[in-house]
Amino acid sequence: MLWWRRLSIAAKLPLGIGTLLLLALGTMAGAAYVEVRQGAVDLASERLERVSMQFAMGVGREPQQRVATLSAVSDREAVRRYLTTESPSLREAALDTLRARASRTDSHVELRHRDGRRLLTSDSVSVLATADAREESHALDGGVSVPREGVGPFEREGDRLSYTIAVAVRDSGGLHGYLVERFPISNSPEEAQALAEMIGSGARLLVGSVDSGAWTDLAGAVDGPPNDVRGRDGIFQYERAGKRVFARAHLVPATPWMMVMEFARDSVLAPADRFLRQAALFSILLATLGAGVAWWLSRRMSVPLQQVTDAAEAMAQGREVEPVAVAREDEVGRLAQSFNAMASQVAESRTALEQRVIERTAALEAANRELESFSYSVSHDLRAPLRAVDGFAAVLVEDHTEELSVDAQRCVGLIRNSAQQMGQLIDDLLTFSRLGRQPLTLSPVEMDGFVHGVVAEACDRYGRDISDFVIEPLPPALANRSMLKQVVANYVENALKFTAGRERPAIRISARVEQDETVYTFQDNGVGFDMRYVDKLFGVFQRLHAVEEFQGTGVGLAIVKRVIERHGGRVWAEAVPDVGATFHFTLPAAD
Amino acid sequence: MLVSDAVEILLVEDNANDVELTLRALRKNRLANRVHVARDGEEALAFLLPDEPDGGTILPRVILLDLKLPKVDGLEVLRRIKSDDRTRRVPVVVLTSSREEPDIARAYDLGVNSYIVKPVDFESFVPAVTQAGLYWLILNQPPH
Repeated sequence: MLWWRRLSIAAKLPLGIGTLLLLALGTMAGAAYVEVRQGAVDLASERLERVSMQFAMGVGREPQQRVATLSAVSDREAVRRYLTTESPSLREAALDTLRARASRTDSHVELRHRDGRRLLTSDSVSVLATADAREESHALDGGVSVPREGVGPFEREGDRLSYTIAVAVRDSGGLHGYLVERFPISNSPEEAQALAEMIGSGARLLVGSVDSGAWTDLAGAVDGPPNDVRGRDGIFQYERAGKRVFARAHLVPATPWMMVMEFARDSVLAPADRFLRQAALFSILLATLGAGVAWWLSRRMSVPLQQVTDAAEAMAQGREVEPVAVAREDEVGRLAQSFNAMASQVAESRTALEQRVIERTAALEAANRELESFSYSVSHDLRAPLRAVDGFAAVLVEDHTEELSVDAQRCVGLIRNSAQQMGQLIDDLLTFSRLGRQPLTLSPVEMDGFVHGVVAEACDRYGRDISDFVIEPLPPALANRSMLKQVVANYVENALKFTAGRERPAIRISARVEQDETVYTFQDNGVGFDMRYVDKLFGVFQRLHAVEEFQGTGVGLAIVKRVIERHGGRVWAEAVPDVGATFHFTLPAAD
Repeated sequence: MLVSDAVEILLVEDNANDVELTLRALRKNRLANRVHVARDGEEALAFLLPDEPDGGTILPRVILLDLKLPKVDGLEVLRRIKSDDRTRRVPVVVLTSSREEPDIARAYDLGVNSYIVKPVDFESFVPAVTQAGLYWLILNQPPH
């Protein structure tokens, strides 16, 4: 992650800490939320369980009591006698009994024969009509409308709910008929209020019949729970009015009813959600605070670090460096102090170095000047006596010939040779010395014409035939012209000298271009030299042949080597005795 | 001005051997009889310049000037010769052992007419002097 590496410390630290805090707090908040939520759900479940159980019991109590009290009515003489005889004189008494019961319980009571016929009813026509209609539908279905004993299911008409209870009228003679009582289901607002308070907020109580689809929340008719809940005991979750609810369903004992207690999930989880929101807010605040503190701390570190870094970069680039202002004693402070000390040391040693360079350069220049005056003296003061030696020796021979024997004249000749030899040596040495000191001013040299010129001059001087030479095309060079002339002249003269005895001297000059340099080659078919002494070849005063055999001071090749090496090139040679020799020099590529 | 005292060559040379060898060379070509030798720079200037008593009366046709001279250096003599209206037309030939580039450059800067390096071997020395002498005395047209 390259971007992370480049990010400033001032950003890394707060980012890291902020992320860490956020993660930690987030995890804790999340875990706590889960706990709280579970706790809320558990609490709600437990409450649900407790309350719903009570209510299921409670809800069932009333109908059961009514069944009990209706049973007492069924034992009444008046009822039984009318039922068995159906005599009109007994009718009124039985009806009174029924009406008394109805008004007491605010219901509607019927007496039915065991074959299902309605014999008496306490109530008005409308209820009757409804009951008749139902009976008819039952009859149409082919079923017998024999009421069930006990509590009946809820029945719904419009938004009015009711239920029936039925009690059998029996005696020692068997079953004679039924008393069927219908109760409306409704609660007064006060009762509903009291109920709500008992249940608690966010909860809803539903009672209904499993199979009839008629449900009430004890204030009015309502939609029942989903079908898969009906008829089953247990805890469920489903949607009501678009919201998720928890529900505890109980079968109401001794009735065909169910009681469902619903808790809106939202209300159950509301405290948990509230907790989560608060926890999240708190976490964010804390993380931000933590990040802010981290940012402040890291800035306190990174600003002086940045200063030291900037100063170090400046020093690395060779620029002037101001001492880093530092006020603290901790690691960063010590770093800055050490850096300042180092910077001043570097500056000091740089100054000292420059001073030494100046001193050395001055010393070198002084040495050079001394050398200059030395060679100056040498060139002048050594030559004069030599001239005298040679001159007067010549005078001796020329003007006093008759006084000198042949041998004497030979001796004088030897004196003159030596003097001339010495003169040449002085010249060569001076050249050698000068070449080392001269500034190397380079210019492009057209080697073709240049080498041709040197060869022509040498042939002229030594009285040789230029056709002895084969000169191939030569690439141009970048060199000091006069120095290069000495090099080429030396190689050419060597070739001429050592091929002097040959019947058909052949000297070939060629060149080839390599990657970084050009190699110039001078090959001859002369006497060559012994390769055992090849290392001495380019040394000063090193000769591989006797003086009498070949003229030369032994400095020529040393001059060549010095010049070429000053140009950044190399020299070397190979030979086979009596076959020939090949001399090379290289020059760096002229680009 | 005595004709017999006419000096054709002024040789300014401190080395006795070189003087002798030079005269020998000139003698071979019969040029030696008109030579005046000055053994140092002071003598040369005294001979040439009119400020000195006896001086300035005779101007040679060529001056053979060595550079390494005691008292007054050859280049200084050259400078004086070439800066004085009366003497600056006289051809000056530097005849010296020094082949050093600074000397050559300075001499030409000062207006030398010719610069010859004395060869060490006698075989070359003689022709060099001879040719110089013949050239400047015979071939060259002097100013008047």
